This record gives sequence, C-alpha cells and structure tokens, in this order.
Amino acid sequence: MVSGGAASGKSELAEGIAVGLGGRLVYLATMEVWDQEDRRRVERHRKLRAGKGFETVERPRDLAGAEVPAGSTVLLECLSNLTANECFGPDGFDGAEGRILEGVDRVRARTSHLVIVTNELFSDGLAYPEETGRYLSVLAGLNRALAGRADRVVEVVCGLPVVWKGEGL
Amino acid sequence: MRLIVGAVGQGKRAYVRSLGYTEEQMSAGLGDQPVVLNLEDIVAALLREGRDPVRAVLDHAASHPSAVYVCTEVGCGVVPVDRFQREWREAVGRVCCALAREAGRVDRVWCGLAMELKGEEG
Repeated sequence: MVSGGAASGKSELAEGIAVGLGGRLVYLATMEVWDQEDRRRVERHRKLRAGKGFETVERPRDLAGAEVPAGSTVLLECLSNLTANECFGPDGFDGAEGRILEGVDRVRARTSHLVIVTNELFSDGLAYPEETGRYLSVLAGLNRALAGRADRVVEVVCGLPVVWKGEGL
Repeated sequence: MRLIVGAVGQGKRAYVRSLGYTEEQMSAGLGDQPVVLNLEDIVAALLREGRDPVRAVLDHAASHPSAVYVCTEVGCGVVPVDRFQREWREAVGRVCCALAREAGRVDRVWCGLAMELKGEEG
C-alpha cells in the first residue's frame, strides 16, 4: 500500500514498485472523467506510465467484478477515487467498505502482486459536510484495514518513501 | 541545497535555527538570502503571476546551490472545492517533489522532531 498527500509523488513511486515486482503489469484505473481538469489529470498519469509496459483496466466501481489477468502484477490507483465512486454511486455508503474490501480480496487472489495507491486526506480539519465526513471515515477505515493486510506500507513525502511496514525500498 | 517540509506549526523554523541560521538570514521570497521561508506562499504568488512554479523555483535553486527551502505541507486534506486552492496544493506538491529530487538533503519536521528523508549520499 502506498499513500501520500496531493502531488506527493505517490503514483510515480507506486509505478516503480509495480515495475520492480515484475510480471504482466496491469493498471487498474478507478477514476471517472467528468471535466477538463479530470482529463488533464488522466493524461498526466498516462504520460507518467508511458513506456513502462502497463495495460489498463478501467474499473471505477464494483472492484469485485474487475477482470484482471491471472498471475499479473496489479497497480490499483486509487483507492480514494474508488471509494468516492462507491459511496456517491448507485450502491451508496451502506456496505461500501465491505464491498471494496471484498473487491480487493478478489483481485488479490487472482494476482501475483497487488499495489494499492491511496490518499492522505485526514490532516486538514474536521468540519466538513456530513457526507464528506462519512466518506473520510470509510476511506480511513479502508486504509487501516488494508495497511493491516499489506506486506509493505509506504508513505510518500516529496517523492521520497517513508516505510511504515515491511522492508525498505 | 536542502529542503525542509512539515505541516503548519511543527517547528520547521526552530529546526532551521538549530542548524545555525539566524532570523536575519531567513525570509519568504526567491532572493539571495540563505533560507527561503514559506515556499507555499511563494508558489501561490507565482501561480497568480501566471508563472510556472516548478521552473521558477528550480531556476532559483540552480543559482543558489546552498539555499535552504522551507515549505509547509498543505496536501493532506480533502480536495478543496475552490479551483485555485486545488491548483495551489498540486503546485506546492510538485515543487517539493522537484526540489527533493535535486536536494542533497530533505527533512520532514513533525512535533519539533526532524526525520531525514534523504541524506547527502542519497
């Protein structure tokens, strides 16, 4: 699991980890594109990945149904988008955490390696609208659960790894 | 060149003083002083001027190889609704990543303690 704040360099670091793990590389993209800003963001990530050998599978929600090639190395980016899509999508908040965890387990069972990128959204105040607070709580719960399951947990600060669990990079 | 980051109020400036720098040597601007404070504000000003913050800061770093940059971490919250706030957070993050790549040393200050993220040999 790789986490970090906005523009902390977490994607690039996570890609490096996935490439280092080797095998058939799959980028499991969770972002839904709504506007020009989203398009620019996706474009930036595509450029960052270009030439590294990833094939892309898009799965903005219902992770359990994602068709990832057996035995591949999957980079799931990112959990915060997936969680937002689940919570604010048709199935809603109820059971969102469980659905996502089940999805992660299913993907993990099919792959050789799974690298999950998540987000640090938790250090900037508490006074948010109720739904935002609920979303933060779901994502924080997922981060805790996945950090518990992960072999390695890395926080990225200014593009540099801070290893919280497992061996260093 | 060194980079020192940390959330607001964590003791970044005191840490810089502990390295032997005086208050007179620190200010917020891309000048010739040894310590550049409040890099996050400088990035905001550059964005407002329509300049590329990464390029402007890297150019400054190239001509000031022994500068110390101090930046407040601002990217660990809920993505703001306000567009400029979003662009600013993003730009501050990219500037710090770019400086960290070039820096001989990067430290993160938290609760008055400094954690070395990158050392001279790194």
